[in-house]
Amino acid sequence: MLKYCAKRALSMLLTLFLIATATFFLMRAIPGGPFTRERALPPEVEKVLMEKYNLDAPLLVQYKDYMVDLLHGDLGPSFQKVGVRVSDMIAAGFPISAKVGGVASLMIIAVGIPLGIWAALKKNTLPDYVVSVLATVGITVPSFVIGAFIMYVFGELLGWIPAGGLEDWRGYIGPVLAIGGFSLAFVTRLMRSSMLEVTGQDYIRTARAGGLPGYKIVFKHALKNALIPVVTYIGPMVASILTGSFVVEKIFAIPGMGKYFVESITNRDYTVIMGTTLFFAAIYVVMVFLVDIAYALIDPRIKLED
Amino acid sequence: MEKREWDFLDKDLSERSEETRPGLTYWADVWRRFCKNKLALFGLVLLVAIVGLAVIGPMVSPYSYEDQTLEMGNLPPTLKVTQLDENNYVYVHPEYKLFSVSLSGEVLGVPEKVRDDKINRKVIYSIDGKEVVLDYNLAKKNKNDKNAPKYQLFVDGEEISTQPLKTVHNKTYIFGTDKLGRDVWVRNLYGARISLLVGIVAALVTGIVGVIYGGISGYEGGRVDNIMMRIVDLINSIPLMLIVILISVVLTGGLATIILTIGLVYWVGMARQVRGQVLSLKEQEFVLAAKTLGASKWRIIMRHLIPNALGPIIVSMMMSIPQAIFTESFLSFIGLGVSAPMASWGTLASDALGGIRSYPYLLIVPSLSIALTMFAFNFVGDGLRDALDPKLRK
Repeated sequence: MLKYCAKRALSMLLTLFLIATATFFLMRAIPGGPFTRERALPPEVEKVLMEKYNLDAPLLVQYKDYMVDLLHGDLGPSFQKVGVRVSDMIAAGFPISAKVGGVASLMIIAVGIPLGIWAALKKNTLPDYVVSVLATVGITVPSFVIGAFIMYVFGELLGWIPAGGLEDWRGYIGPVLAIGGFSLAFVTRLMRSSMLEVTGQDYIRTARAGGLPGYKIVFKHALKNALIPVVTYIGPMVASILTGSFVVEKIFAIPGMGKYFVESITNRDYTVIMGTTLFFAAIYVVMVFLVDIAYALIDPRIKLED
Repeated sequence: MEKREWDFLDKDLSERSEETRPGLTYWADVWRRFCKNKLALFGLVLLVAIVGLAVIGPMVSPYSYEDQTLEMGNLPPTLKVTQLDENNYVYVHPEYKLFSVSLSGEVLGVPEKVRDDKINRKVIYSIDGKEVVLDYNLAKKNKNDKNAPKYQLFVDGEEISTQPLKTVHNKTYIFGTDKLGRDVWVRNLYGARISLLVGIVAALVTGIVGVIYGGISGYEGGRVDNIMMRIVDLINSIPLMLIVILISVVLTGGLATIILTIGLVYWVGMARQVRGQVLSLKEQEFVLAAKTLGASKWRIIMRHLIPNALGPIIVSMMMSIPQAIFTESFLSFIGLGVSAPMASWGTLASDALGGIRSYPYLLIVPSLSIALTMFAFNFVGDGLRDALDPKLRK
């Protein structure tokens, strides 16, 4: 187990290194730099700026410098927001996005999985149809539509939720539903079909023939195997939900992390692009790692060593 | 066994026994199974309707997607008609403007404006020689009361009832106009063209690149496969949005760029799937037979392996259309999509978001269109999956 974790940690670092390298050269391939404006800067000013941010060095030297800083845990300064470091931006934005995303993830797990099981057990009855239709709606409606709709109906017409911000708990309703709507629907559908597949298998029939009570069959025997595909999906999903969504944050006026990502790319704020991408990638690989461990816990047939 | 059993049968009897139903081809069988699925059929009808509207709609409409009529801005799809006198009816716009309308809901135009007295909060119009004054001093007084009247109307100095006579549908602009006076319905249909075009072409690009890449990778196997799949892994581990945004910034926006970008990013999933299919198919005897007959690699991949994997390929191409439409609307939403006066559902929704408090219908029309299209594609995709491979049905 320990050996496996060490191995995985190494490969995670390697993945992050590759992503950092790829992102670094990808974004440098974009024409224009952080100081390209509609009205050109005086050459002297630009030269000083380039010097200050080490942008006048050859690309490979810049790459080496960045990597060395990165190894020291330094993500560098933002090029666009003077005096702000990338780590400060992440420290300011991430907790907010993570709060909304955490609540959304909990909702997805706490609602989606039971709903899926329920629909599967009541296959081809009214509850199943209702759940399936709702799930299809959730999958087909984009998040900005859900968000705008919630905001208009519950915020404007009914006045139940505040128009934006996260001052009290009601402020969370809109963003959580908007950011988690798709995944909630997807998890429900996945859980339903996976549960149906498992309950059709022979060992469940054996358990039933042996006279085990229904709840025991479902929760002790079927659920564990049915959870595998759901867990596979939930891992990366949590990573992307925790780091925020530009669209949802824009609609509900939440000062989270999602906006840095989009803004930094359009602003060519190189260090912020690198920082947010790496931050996301780090959470992502950790989540994938946790998923693999969860496999072994859920299903003893899966060995971690291979 | 009796002797008569060895006799010849009657001629017509023996012929009748040869009557069989005509053999179904694979695709006829698929179509038969598809038609049994009501939901999928409904999706197909919906899809045909949407595509038909998108193609024909803008042609037969009297409006164009880019014609601006500034004075006709922000008209809603339903009009509250107020009566001025026997012949004249007006619609009082929430921005305190008057529009001449007919009782049946046609927008006749903007009445002649005499004076706009912003200091005294009055707008004075001349309609049929009469002086009509729209006085909105009440708006300030009743600011906090949603239901209180916000304006008064005077015709030749006499106050008339501001109670709307009736609420009618806007006959001139079915779904209203946006802030530049462009017809929302036509823009939405035009947006449908762009969104559908992006979806379908991107799915084709995804399909072609993915099939070739996955086919080669799966068939070659060994080191080639290893390297090709590591490239796929690398692309997969960089957040898709980053690549999408990066490419669309490099290639400076526009419709072709969006299509290319989405196609270039989403082929990864298709490549994986095709590779998996090819890996299992290439061990089968018919491939060995083709090899023995001297068929080239290209021929084996294209003529033998891919046709056998066509079912799942078609399904995932079908499913990647709504995904591409989704991505396009997201890109448009964050401002990297098609630029004005072109419109896609994403830009329409994004533009409408700012004015959602006053003009929610601007958002509702494109949102519903996206949702309905997604529905249709999902139903058709699910139906196709079941029809192409009944084993997969769940």
